[in-house]
Amino acid sequence: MSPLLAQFLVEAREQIAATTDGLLGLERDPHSVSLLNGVFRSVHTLKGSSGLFDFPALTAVLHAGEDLLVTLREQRLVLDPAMLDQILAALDLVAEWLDHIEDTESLPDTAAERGRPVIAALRGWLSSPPADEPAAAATSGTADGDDTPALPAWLDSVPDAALTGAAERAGVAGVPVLAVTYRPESQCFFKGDDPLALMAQVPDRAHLAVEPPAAWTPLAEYDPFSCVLAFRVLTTAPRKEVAHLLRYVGDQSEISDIAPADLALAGLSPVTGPASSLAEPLALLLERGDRAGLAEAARTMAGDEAAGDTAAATVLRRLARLAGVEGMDPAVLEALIGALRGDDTPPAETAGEEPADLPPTPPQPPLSEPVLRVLNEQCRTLAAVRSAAWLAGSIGAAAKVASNALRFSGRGDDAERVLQAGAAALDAGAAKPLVDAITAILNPPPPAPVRKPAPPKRTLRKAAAPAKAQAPAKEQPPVSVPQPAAANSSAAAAGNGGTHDGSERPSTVLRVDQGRIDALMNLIGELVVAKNSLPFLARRAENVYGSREMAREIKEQHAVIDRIALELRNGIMQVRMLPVSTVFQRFPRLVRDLSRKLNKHVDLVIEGEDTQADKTVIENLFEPILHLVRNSLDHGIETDRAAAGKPDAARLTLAASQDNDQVIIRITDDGRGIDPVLMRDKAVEKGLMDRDAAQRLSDGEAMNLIFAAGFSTAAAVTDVSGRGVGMDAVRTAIEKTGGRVELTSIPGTGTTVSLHLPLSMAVTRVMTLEVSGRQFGIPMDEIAETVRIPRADVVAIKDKEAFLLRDRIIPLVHLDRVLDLPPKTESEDIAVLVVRIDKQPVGLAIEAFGEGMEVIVKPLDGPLAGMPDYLGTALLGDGRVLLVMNLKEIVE
Amino acid sequence: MSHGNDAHIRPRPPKRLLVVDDAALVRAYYRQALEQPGGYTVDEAFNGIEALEKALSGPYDLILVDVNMPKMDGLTFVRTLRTTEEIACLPVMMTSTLNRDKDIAAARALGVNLYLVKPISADDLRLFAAIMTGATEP
Repeated sequence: MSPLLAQFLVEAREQIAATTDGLLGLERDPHSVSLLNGVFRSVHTLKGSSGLFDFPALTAVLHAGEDLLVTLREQRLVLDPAMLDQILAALDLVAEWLDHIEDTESLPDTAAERGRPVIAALRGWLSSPPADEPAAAATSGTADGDDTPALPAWLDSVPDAALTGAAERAGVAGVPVLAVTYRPESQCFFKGDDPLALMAQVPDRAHLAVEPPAAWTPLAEYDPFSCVLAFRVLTTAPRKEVAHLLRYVGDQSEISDIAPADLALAGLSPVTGPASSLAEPLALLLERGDRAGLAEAARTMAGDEAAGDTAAATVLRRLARLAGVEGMDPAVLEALIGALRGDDTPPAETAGEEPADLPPTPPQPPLSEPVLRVLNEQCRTLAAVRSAAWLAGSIGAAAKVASNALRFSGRGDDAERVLQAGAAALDAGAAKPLVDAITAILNPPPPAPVRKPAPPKRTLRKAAAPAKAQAPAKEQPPVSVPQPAAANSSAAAAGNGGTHDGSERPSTVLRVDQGRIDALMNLIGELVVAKNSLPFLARRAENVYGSREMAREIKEQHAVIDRIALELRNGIMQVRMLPVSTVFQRFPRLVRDLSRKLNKHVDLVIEGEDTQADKTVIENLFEPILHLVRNSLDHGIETDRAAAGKPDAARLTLAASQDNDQVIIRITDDGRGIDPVLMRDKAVEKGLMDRDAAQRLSDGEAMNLIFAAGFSTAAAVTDVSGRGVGMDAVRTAIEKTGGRVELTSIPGTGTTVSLHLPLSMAVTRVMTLEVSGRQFGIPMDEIAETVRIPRADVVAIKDKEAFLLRDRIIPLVHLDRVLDLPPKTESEDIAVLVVRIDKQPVGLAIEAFGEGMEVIVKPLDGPLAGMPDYLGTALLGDGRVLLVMNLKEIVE
Repeated sequence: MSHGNDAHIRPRPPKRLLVVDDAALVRAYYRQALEQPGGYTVDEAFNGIEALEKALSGPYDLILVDVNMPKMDGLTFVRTLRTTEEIACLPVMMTSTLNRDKDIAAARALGVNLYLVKPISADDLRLFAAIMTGATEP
């Protein structure tokens, strides 16, 4: 897997976690703008990153989610809890795909299929769902392309009368005609859209056409409920009004401006032949300003001279009609006369805008599409800059970029010219000189007499660009940088700069592969073991080589190494520490989903999530806690809480805290609690014990029966608790990590289960002991005390033995008998190790106490793996292997 | 890109680019696209504020900036850049997933020199960076 993809996976999971948190926060506080922004940012970033790879379905799902969030953020929609469900579902799907990507570096084959309903659900909220990515890109492409066809081809099919009518109105008013194309999305009817009615509402409409699809689908597959039509409208209404009308279908429609002079030329066939000669007299009439004469002449010509030439006749008829209109823009008439003449070069005035001082350039290397795009973009940016405050900066930057683009294309002279124009523009405090220079390079004057194709669209742009560029320049006085505003904002920037926190700097956090930390931890474990060999060595120095001095020095060195090893270990353990929140954070979502499923109202309270514990401990926590939470929700919390006199919302608390070297996790609910009477009955019924034994149990003990293997009080297996292997699974799992489980419950009030876990599983303190001359280890946590009792004090109760310790009867277990080892000595005193098993003290009769040490317990593997009597093995400093006993199993 | 191709690139003073994006992954992607095969020197900043600090300590030939960023977004950054004398004339390429006309118009109004909609292929990134910095070869 490429490092980029690996990084994406890590970050994507973080973003999903962050988004989930944010969404759940939003559920509690739907009006929080900061939460919404956070969620949006996460999804946005995630989508952006996913776009770097080829996971179209994934990106599409995220895109749909992002669109919904944008709409929410812009307050065009109100947050609905069901939206959260759908976004969460989308995230679930994405998370699932991430897993798949991690395994196979690709999306599952079914991805597109599975993504579709999710996307549909998300898009369903949007009144005007934007088309999917490629289509959207296409839209922006056309938006980019003001410079591409200003005259849509379809205009040619508009009836002559409609065209002339529109040109007439627009030519008098001096406003552009709007050509609107609306392609409703195929599912538009299901969104309540009525495309035709909408188009009929366009004000000042000159033309409305419904366009069938290029090819109809065969009748058998034809879907009458999907819209395949397009709508075309010509109108002279202001753009603002039209855009407002189409605001909900903005992504499906396109509005372009057409100058009246260009519109007047639409639909005309080229005029050739003798009719062209008619143009001169007409031009003369126009020049004289004799409109009535012009109209009259054109009308006559259409009937006489051009009677046989339809193309010319159409032009003349149009000219006749428009010339007769009071206040008609002469440019329109000029254009028509030009068309009659058979040329389509721009009218003289417009062409005159061309900077005349530019010498015609010799053949130049051609400019590629991207370069043209960049150059065009500079003109447009300059036209768009409205504020004097950054006009100078924008001119400077645009000049630099334009000249760089030209230099890139090997046009050094032009580049130089643009730079000079940029300097001139800066002096003038207006962008015009620069825009003119760039425009001149974009549209070189045609080499002398060849009057061939300079299509009308070019005319339009040439005319428009300088005009636009002049607009800001006129409004503003010459500019000098910096402005006071500039000083303010940069000061503000510096001020902010001081406050941003370091946590965001990527350099302060290292992402380290788990495996490396684990390897380091193993090495440190070995170091601890190796260190443990020094006391052996010291003893050998003294006993074998007779050097007490040497032994003392070794012991001193041992103390030093011991301290360093301890610090090293603590340091690495710190690295391995994870906050409990990494587990807890999954629960808000789970509790929310489960409580909905069960139709119970549950408030989850999380406390102490900053408490830290070793990675291995944390990683093994999720399943047990999940089990306990499910149990609480399903069985603990009453269905009818009002009947129990409790508030409707139940309270489930997940609390973590640290107590010495233990982490304690408490799962508390305020549900019905556990009924000890019921527990006793159940225990008897299940055959776990007889009635007498059950009655002898204290209430607490009876409640703890819930952890006994094969015990389940739930009458019915539910979806939520699953088949419930029961709480003994929880107990087993926790004990495996070296922890224990406690339960307290007050019937009718609630239940608390606490998990006591070691901070770290990596290193265990054990005490060694000898039984029949063999060495064993016992985890130090379980040892209460060591005593020696006279053999005479051991009393026999039935077939068991016990002894009295501080007025308390403690059962005595002979380890050698339990382990089936030959008894060794029969000394006066018995060495007894008092251990606690399930909080009950038990005495273990052994042969001798050994020393306490830190070891790394490695689980048994191979054929021994199934032996429950031993936790595992540890390597001693002198190379021997120590078996560490699982007392609970051995004694029971 | 093969070594043979690399060999054709004429030596030139490397152009300095500043990539501003809050997503480390995107920065890494740009760096990967521009640094080795493009022959650019690439610096990174993760929000507008850091970008301004870096820009002031420049010089840079081109700034590539994202729109959506915490602390200081791309648009605010460009406005501040364009109104800060020493760096006002720095060419800016804005890259974003926002593709609506009004987003692009907003960028233009601030004097952004080129607006590209993400995702952008590595080839396009190199090409436009070369055009905008006047590099002799893409």
